[in-house]
Amino acid sequence: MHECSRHDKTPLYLQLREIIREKVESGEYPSGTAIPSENMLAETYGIHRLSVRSAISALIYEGLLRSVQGKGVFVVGPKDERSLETIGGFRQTMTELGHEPSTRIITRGIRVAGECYALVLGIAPEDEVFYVKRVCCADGEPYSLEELYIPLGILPSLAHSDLNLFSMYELYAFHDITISEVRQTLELEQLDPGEARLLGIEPTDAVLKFQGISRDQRGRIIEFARTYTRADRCAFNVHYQKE
Amino acid sequence: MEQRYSVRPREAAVEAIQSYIVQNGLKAGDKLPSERDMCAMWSLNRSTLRLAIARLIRDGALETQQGAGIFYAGPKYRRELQGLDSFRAASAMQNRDYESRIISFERIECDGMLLRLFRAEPGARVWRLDRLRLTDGCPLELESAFFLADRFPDIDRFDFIGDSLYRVFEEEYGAVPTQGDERITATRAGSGEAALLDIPDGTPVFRVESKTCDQDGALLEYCRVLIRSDRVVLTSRMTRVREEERSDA
Repeated sequence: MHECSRHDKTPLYLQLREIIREKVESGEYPSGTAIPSENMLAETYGIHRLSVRSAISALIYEGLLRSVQGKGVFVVGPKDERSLETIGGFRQTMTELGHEPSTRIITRGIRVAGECYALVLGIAPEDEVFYVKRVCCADGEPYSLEELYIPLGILPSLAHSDLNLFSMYELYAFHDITISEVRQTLELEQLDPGEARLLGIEPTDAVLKFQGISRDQRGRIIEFARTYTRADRCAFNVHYQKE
Repeated sequence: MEQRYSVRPREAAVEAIQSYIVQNGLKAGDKLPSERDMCAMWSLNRSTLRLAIARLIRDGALETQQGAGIFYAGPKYRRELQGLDSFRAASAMQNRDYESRIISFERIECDGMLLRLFRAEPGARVWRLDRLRLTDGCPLELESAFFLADRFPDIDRFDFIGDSLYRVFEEEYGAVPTQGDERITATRAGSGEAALLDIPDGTPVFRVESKTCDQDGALLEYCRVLIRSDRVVLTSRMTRVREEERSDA
């Protein structure tokens, strides 16, 4: 059995955090079951109960474990493993992961780009932009909050489209637009209380903030998207290679 | 006809500040105009401007110095997820001073997870090298690298403050870091980790786990990194189009 080592310079609770993480990820603590109690873990690993609590709380925050009042701490099912290399809209991505996708429009409308989005989208500040803010859900549960900025010059009819009926990628395809490159950045951010509520999380929970510029097969900028994704629901994967 | 979307005042203020930074070519540490001047320039009221500034401070774009005003924090360090560039090379590209501090370097016995990862026999040992990565004096990443002790005997004779682990792997041991996978999640920094990264306990940070293989596809290095998200932005480029879409086109 693995034990916390006092020779190791790593604090005991950090060692225990990694031990529990490993037991969850290897399936030794199966999804849906309770992990041993704080007292039991404290005894098994010979560390203080408060240290056990610190270790567990970090894993609860990450979405690996869930605490149920009066019942114990349970292993949550595996996170959605998503790719940072494959282009795809929310609906396709969720369908492939076995979730039922749905979206709810918070607001939509036409605005002028302004100085800021003129720079981002490579258009003039007075050019019009189609703006959509929506909550994307998986199996009815909020998953991400998305803001899209799309130059109307390229897709004038977009403003009349039913976004509940068609995915953005379907609408693009109607106009012979295939998104062929997305350059994106990833940050962690905390949301305002109103936006946190839309995602069903606390304002103190960090979300994964993606910002990406999508180009089509002709190299035109089609959209700028800002997406806040719940960090407890998914992990992102990427492959790297020596050039 | 589609309705007009009227931009909320606070969003307009955030946009105004962001484009001001770009259009005036502000650099890290440059001061923004006074609140009064910004309000006048963009026809904003003071409380709206303050909300926008608070938001940009929280996002790591701006900094305040008590009584001295508001400053641009500078662009975040960009960590390219798809490259194999060393931290040193990436820092140089971004004109940043690079520093690496060794937190600990020791040989430990593999636990169950490491045995599985390295496909090693029970009792096998690994090197564990913990390093703190800094640019311009600011800690950005806390990294724990694990690699098999048998494969890299006496590797502790090298000085990893000045030297690159991958250079030593490749040139001294003939093990070429060739390709790998990274997995990114969010966590909170524990107290020891937070102290090293110079952030408050429990601050949300990125957790990046990577597995790097050699030219023969064997696992060379397993690595866990905690990354400050107020100072670092992760970047990637997506070009792979899903199969069904390609067949539609």
